Amino acid sequence: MTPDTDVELVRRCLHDDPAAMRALVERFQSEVFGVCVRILRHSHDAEDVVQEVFVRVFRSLRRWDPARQLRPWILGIAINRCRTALAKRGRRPETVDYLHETASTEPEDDSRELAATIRLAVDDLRPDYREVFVLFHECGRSYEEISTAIDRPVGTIKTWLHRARTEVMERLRRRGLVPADRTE
Amino acid sequence: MNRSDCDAYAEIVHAVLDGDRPVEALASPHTVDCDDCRVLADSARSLTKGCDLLSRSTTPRDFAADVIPAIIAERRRERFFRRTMATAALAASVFAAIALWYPTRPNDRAVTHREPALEPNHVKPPAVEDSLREAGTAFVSLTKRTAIETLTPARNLLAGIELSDAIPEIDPPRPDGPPVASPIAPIANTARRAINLFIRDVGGLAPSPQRKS
Repeated sequence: MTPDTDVELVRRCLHDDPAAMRALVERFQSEVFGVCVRILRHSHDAEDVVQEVFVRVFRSLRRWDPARQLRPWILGIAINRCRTALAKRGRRPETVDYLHETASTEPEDDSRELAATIRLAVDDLRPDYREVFVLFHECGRSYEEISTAIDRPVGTIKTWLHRARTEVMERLRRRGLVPADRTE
Repeated sequence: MNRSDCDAYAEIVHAVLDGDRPVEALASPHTVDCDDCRVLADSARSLTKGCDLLSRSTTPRDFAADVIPAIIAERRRERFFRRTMATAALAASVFAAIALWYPTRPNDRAVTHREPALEPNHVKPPAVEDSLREAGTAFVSLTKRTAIETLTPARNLLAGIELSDAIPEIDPPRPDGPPVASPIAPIANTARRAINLFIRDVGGLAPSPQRKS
């Protein structure tokens, strides 16, 4: 049985089909959760925000334009909810929690340090740079999808991503994590 | 080393980071001569490798099963709220329509627009003092003109003559003389006639032409 297209899934959800609602959540939950964790840097906050994201998704589902892609639309809601959560958090002491992360493979060399340094560098980025970097490098979204999700032109997304990469690579160089390539 | 070569190589680096070109594209003769581009290439390799190593966040187990009841409850709440609001709006509309229609019914209009009953006219009788004052004022206004026309010649006469010259000396009545009333007999008839005679004798004032004597 082939999975429903996004349009068909939404149509069933609008008829209050619980199976369709569950399918929609399962289709996008990992991506939404990943974005929320990376932007909020806290897994429990991310869980609350993801639940709120899906509540809002189903509340606004009638206003979704089937001519547009569903994934960037949902990611846009997730980004907005993360911004709101960060604004509410305000000056509250920030607790960074990465205990939820599970490495797929155990690194053999200084790869662990490399990944951790990239994490810290991304966390120190400006919020809009961080959103773009996470959506592109960790969620694998295209420029166009990010543009739709963040509601900014593609050119702006490219500029932000370029600056974000430059800052991260500079951080890696300062930490001595850029070995000279010996292959040439 | 040419600056345009560096720009072109930077384009290659970003194409690799975008995933449009493989990492092997970073190997270029340009990096042998250009230290900056070699550092850039090494940084891009580290970033690419590091991004591949970034662990993925895993969604909590049974997240969908946990979130679906909350979503359904929220949708029910929203639907209930929407229906409640619609019912309330309908009820308010009906109430407003009744409120606007009720006073305009014909029977109610008669009741509503009935003229107020006339109350008995309780007018106080005028006081005696007020009646007298009013009668006096009316009497004065009616007789004022006649009185002024009558007294004005006399007032002018009295102001313009010497009483000592005008009034003849009158001898005290004597028992053996003429009768007392004879010198003043002409002016004893009426006041008007006396004044006219007086004016004619003195000649200072003409008598009123429209007045009949």
